[in-house]
Amino acid sequence: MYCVALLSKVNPIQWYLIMSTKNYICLAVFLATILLIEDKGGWEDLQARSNCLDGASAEDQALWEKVAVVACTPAARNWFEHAYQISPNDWFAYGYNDQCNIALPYAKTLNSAYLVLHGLTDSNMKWHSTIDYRATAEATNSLTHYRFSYAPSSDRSGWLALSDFQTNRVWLSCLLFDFNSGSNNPATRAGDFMHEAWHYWQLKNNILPEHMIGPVGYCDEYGPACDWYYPHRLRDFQSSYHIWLTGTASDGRLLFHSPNQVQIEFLCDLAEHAADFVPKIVRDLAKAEANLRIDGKIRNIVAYHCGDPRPW
Amino acid sequence: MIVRLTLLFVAFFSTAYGQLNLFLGNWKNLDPNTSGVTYLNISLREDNRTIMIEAWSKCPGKDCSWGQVEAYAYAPSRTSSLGQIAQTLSTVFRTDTTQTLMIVRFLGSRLQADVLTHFLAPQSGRSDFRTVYTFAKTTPADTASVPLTPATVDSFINWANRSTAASYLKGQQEIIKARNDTTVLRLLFERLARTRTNDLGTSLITLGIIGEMKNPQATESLYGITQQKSPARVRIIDESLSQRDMLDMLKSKAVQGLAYMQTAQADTLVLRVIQQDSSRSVRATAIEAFLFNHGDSPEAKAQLRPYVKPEDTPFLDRVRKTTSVTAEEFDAGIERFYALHPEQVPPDSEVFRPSAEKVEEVGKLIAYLPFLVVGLVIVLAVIALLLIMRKWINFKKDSSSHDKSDKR
Repeated sequence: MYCVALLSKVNPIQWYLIMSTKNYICLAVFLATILLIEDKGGWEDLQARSNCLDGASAEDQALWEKVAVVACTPAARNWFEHAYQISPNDWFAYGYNDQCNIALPYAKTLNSAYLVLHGLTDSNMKWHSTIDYRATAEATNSLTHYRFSYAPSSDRSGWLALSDFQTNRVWLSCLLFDFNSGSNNPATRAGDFMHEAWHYWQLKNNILPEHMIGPVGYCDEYGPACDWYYPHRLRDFQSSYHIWLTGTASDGRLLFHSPNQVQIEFLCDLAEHAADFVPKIVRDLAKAEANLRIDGKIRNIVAYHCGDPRPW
Repeated sequence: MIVRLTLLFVAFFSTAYGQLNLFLGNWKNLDPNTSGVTYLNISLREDNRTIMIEAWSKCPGKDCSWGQVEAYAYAPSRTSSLGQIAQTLSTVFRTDTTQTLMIVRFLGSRLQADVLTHFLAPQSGRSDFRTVYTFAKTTPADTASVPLTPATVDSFINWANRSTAASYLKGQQEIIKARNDTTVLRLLFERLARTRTNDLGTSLITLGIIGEMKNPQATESLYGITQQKSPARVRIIDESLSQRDMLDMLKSKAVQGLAYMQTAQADTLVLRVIQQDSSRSVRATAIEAFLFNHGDSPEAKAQLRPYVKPEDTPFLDRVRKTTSVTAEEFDAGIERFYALHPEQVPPDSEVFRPSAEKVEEVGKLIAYLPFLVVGLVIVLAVIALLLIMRKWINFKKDSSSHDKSDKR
């Protein structure tokens, strides 16, 4: 078990030196592993490969250039792994040991998590506050939902992310990480955090955590992918009214969201109220995706479009 | 001891190599008073393999771009994996009079560039020279905006991708300056053709630049994008973005550029999209873009109505969520929309309760319930009968054994 634990850590060579053990059996295992790995192209090469098609998108690159200085640190990794309940066993083959490599799923997920954490301003024109979005996206036990964990999946059948209540995970498919995939970008991933985590909100509040089967109403999708949009005003969720509340307030305001709705509101806030470091390519993609979802994934007509239609 | 030293040696070098991705980004010369190279931008082209370096140097007024050129990465040995342990980059910048070799090394959190300048034609009093610069990572806001010229189209797109909201006006100004440059327009469309299938974000940015140029010569090409055949819808589960969705985002961006032209020809084509496009999101964007570019006037709405499909008419009353409206104005717009279209508010039955599909499943279960009850009763009856028969058989046995003992 000691050997396995060491092998699963970053750079076991360093661990061995630090531990200064006299465990010669482990030493033999390490040497054998090193020889085997070198034969396959080197430890860095093994660390850097993942089960998805590796490669950083232009969006990930542009954002990572800004945030890597802060996000590519042991402290940031500790925060991320706790907040998103990242398990080494789940992520070992997806860049777990190569934290700063933006070509790999681990760093891409960290990139998206950082966007949720710091990517929005304090504007009162936002649908929801960063507190609300963090309480939604982050996987730890919160007022929004019970604990779950994010895990990667090599599936490419079509879904981007999936809530799996049996294993208590939100699976993130390779379509969110493949270098040639249009969904391989931090805005889409962060939006998916919101969407899938909201299913756990539904579960906590005894609301059926399923979509309507389309096509239905103004939702043109085939299959279980459609939601209502429960309209609310911007000021309905300011101050003490948080996104995790459910019910009808004393003044009649409805406190209720669907998964696609939370995703749309987050993407729209990212498009229009991004922090200054968020690059244009991420903001523009968030806007395009928000409006696409408004018109394609919702059963009723949503009263607004996100942003203005000026080309630049 | 030897083993430990060997492992130490390997451990040291395993952390000293720079991964290729760590080179990427914007780098600023640590010497603010340099007369040489001030900034570097290192990026990957849309193929995710070709490394590009762009350099700027000190010029009167603002920094001059040396242009963007292809670079090469070097690993420590022939068999090493280049992408993960690239140690050095090299590239060559050429002008009419000079050839400059740049060798870039990654040193932890810094870059060091060895710049060797060679004069093509020997001149007295001027020697080929070498300079070494050290750079630190920086954000694009610190870099000068790139002009939009035929030679800098890729650089401009690269800059635009990374630009912040603070640089919005700078970018807009550069685009407006290039408005009538048909070579720039052609190169932008060529770039779009290369990125359309594998780089959605850059394609949206490129379409945004094309649209903002407002050059009528782009009209047909932009309309052509809106006419691309959409893939058939496929069944999806939960959360997905299909190829059709990606294409719809591009088509929507193209129709925004078309509407921004505000020419009679472009408007006609926008109306055609509103009337005929198979995608609701593209039609909705076209409606919004038309209204936006015609001042959201009642006359524009009246002009649109004959072209709008009946199910799309609520789109005419939509509000726009932008940073230029106040929260009160926006909320008032939302309330106005639902006053006009109360049918767009979900019914109460769809709040806090299971969906209709679940009710149907439960209903099916209830429908089968009588049969289950009858079946259960039958089973219980059979069990009871068997128990009674067993008791009767045992009673008969006991009775016959008692008679026999009496007779003895």
